[in-house]
Amino acid sequence: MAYESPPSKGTGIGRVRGLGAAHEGTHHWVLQRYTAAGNFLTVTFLAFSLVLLPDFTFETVREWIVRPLPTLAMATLVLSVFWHARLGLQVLIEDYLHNPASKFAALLVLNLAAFGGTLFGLISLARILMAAIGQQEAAEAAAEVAGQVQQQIQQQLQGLLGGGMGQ
Amino acid sequence: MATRPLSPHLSIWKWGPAMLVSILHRVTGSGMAFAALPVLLWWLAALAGGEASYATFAGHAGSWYGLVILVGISWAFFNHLCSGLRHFVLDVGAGYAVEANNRWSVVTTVSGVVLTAAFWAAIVLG
Repeated sequence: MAYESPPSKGTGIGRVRGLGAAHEGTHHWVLQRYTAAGNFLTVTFLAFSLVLLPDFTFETVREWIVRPLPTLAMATLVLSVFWHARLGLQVLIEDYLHNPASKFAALLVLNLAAFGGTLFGLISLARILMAAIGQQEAAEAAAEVAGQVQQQIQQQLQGLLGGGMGQ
Repeated sequence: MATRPLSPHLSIWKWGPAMLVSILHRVTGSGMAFAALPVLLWWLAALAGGEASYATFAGHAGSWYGLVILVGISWAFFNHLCSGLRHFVLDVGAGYAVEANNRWSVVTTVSGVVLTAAFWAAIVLG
């Protein structure tokens, strides 16, 4: 790929600005750091949580993940790690793919994969929550029915006993 | 050894601690993108799918090859975390003197392994 050489005058920084593989990048660089901090917090939270969980059965892990803080941490984790991975792999592509068409195609696929992965993770979390809420509602409905049945039995018993005693 | 600057090409670079940290940062980062992220999504989807799908995931995760992959992912994370923190230090302009740079590069690489061992010790013993 032929780049237009900048004029060989001006300051040192002016002569080299834009000559990197991506031609720009301060914003990218800063975002890479912000998401790195997000990864540090959320993945460390996940690591400590995994260590503190008594076991890794379905019930234990689901009870943990549907609590408000773990849900928030895992949603933030998904967003942050996929964003960070997107930025990191972009650098990889810019460093190793020099053909403009291949680079464009690779960045296109990368963006789709990053968006798709993020949404898949967040939707999975939503499904976990909805399943838990559904089960809770079913349990509450069952408890309500059981309560009504119990009440009816008690009323009938009282009716029978009361009737028997009255006569 | 030539006194002129050596070309920054993978096959002819003079190996040193800083180069090891640098390439491990890239390898562990892209490794996690291709291995850890799919595992993360599979784990979340298995939890969302219910007991049967979680059992399938847990069966693979608990097998010998699953544990090899999980240990690999955790090492990649702790290594990338340590070299990432080194990046934060270098970002403020510290740690460029050759001796300090080499020393912290070694500390970074060793810390990644130590943290991985500590994590799995805590999982197994805890």
